[in-house]
Amino acid sequence: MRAAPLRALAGGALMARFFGDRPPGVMALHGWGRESADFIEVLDGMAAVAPDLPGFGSSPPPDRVWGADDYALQIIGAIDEMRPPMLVLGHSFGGRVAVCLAARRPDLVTGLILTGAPLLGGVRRSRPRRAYRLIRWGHRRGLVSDERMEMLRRRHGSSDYRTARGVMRDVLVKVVNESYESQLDALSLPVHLVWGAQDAEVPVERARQAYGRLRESGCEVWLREVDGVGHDLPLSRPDVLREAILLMQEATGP
Amino acid sequence: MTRIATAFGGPSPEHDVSVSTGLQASRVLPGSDCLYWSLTGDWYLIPPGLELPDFADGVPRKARRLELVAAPGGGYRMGRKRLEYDALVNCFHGGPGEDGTVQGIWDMAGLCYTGPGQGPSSLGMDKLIFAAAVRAAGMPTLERRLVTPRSAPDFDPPYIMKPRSGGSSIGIVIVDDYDTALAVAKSSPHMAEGAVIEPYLEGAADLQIAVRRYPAVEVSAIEEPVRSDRREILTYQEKYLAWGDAPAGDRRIPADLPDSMETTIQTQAMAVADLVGIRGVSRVDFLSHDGNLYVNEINTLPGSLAAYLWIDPPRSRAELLEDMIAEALAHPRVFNTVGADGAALKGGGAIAAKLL
Repeated sequence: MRAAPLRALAGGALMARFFGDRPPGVMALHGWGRESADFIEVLDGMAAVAPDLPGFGSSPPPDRVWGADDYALQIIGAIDEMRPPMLVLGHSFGGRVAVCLAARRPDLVTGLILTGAPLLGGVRRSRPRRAYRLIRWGHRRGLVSDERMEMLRRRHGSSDYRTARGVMRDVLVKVVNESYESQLDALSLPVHLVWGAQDAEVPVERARQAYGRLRESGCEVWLREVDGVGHDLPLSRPDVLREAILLMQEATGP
Repeated sequence: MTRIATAFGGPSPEHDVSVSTGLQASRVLPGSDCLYWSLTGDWYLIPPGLELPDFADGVPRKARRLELVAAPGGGYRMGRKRLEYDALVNCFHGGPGEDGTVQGIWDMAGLCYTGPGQGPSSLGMDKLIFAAAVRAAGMPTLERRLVTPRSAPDFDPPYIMKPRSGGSSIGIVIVDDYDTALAVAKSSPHMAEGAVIEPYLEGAADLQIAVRRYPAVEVSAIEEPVRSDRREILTYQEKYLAWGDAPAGDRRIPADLPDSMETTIQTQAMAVADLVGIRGVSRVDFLSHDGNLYVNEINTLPGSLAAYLWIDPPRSRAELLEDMIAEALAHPRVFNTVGADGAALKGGGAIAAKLL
């Protein structure tokens, strides 16, 4: 296994891991709370780049509350240093960013591989318990101390929410409430959806919905459901993602 | 009967591993209390027999708040009641539980504890000073430099970059050039207390050995962790996050090494233990590359107390802990006041005269 060292892009605002000696033909975007190291096995031996998205790994957090589209804009700002166009692979949150990137700048992207990426709205999250909502209300009015509120947040929030710190907590709230219908409708490039059939976080039904929507907008699209796998394909089934990359490279030419 | 408490947790990136080490130790020491230092720095007495998931959401239920009084006759207090302990078993990893901070406070409170005291702990945690001390003692180390905009390294990239202070693989990255190192030093929370770089050696092997100096100087078998295909450096996950006896990841114990290399590692591990002034069990990590051997780092409070390394000579976890406790009781820190006999005070003039 060859080392994939980090290189600072965008004046140090974006750290990226470079694989291979040639200019990268593939860019991989990691999930929430993850980092570029997730793709070491997927991208080993390829000419590829995997940034640490701001707020994760070695990249500093954004200075304000970003959505997925802001992440895409930042990558576009640094992309000259990565020599596009590229095949873009997005896992989970990275898939949201990948779709925004492709919708904004189709000239930079030859194709998309998405895995475990929540793209369409309509996720119904359970509403917090009444007592918790009441305490939140009390906190906003200064009746509940910050310390106590934080303790309760840690008890009641999702695990991503509990571990997020500072601005990243607001970024999380922003992105989980986003939906990317308009971006999906704007796409006209090949898309390969590779999903864990047992993905509990973004169930495969949602991949099927995205598949239908992408076909309607005229994309060449494949959906592969991988049995016995959950949400984290980059670490659990890197071989499947490698296959998907090779397939897409054949489909999209050199 | 000796009154013992295991102390674990702590405001450190390695909090979770410390909880694991602490709960393991408490099971081996029946009747011991459990002192939990929370992520926010508060102390608690927690009920015996808890499991790891009980800590997943922060302070476990039924934990009782304690105060730590850093004065003679102080120590741990629950309200007005003082908790009496003969010795504390230090199971912290990383941060203020390993770098000497808590050791200094325990010294001030007059508490005995396992593992090294404040000075050796700081030395063991500071990768830059540690490497310099090892090199000054005539042992081989890799070139290790502080990452600072005021100087550049005199060796070629890629570099392996580590937090200057820290006992695990957390935060370690490989960087392509010095500008990236400077940028990572600014952005990574793990590098907030400084960062060091050294040459990245493709295909280097990590060799680890445990050492102790009580009841006699002794080294364990040597371990060679087999790097998984997924990672180019041994990850935190591989090193520590196993629930069993040993860290996760494939390993070879004892490592398959030429006799001469084995002897060198054993000798140098003992020399490093003396140099740092360890107590309890430390783990000394070496790098082997192209037939060369380098002292890499020392971990003065290793995960699981490195119990899995003691297969030759075989030492049970209970035996190791009992020896560590006996060593702590035999060497309490006593502040030296010899010479402060008041003579200089009696004959001293007015302070105002000294200000002239």
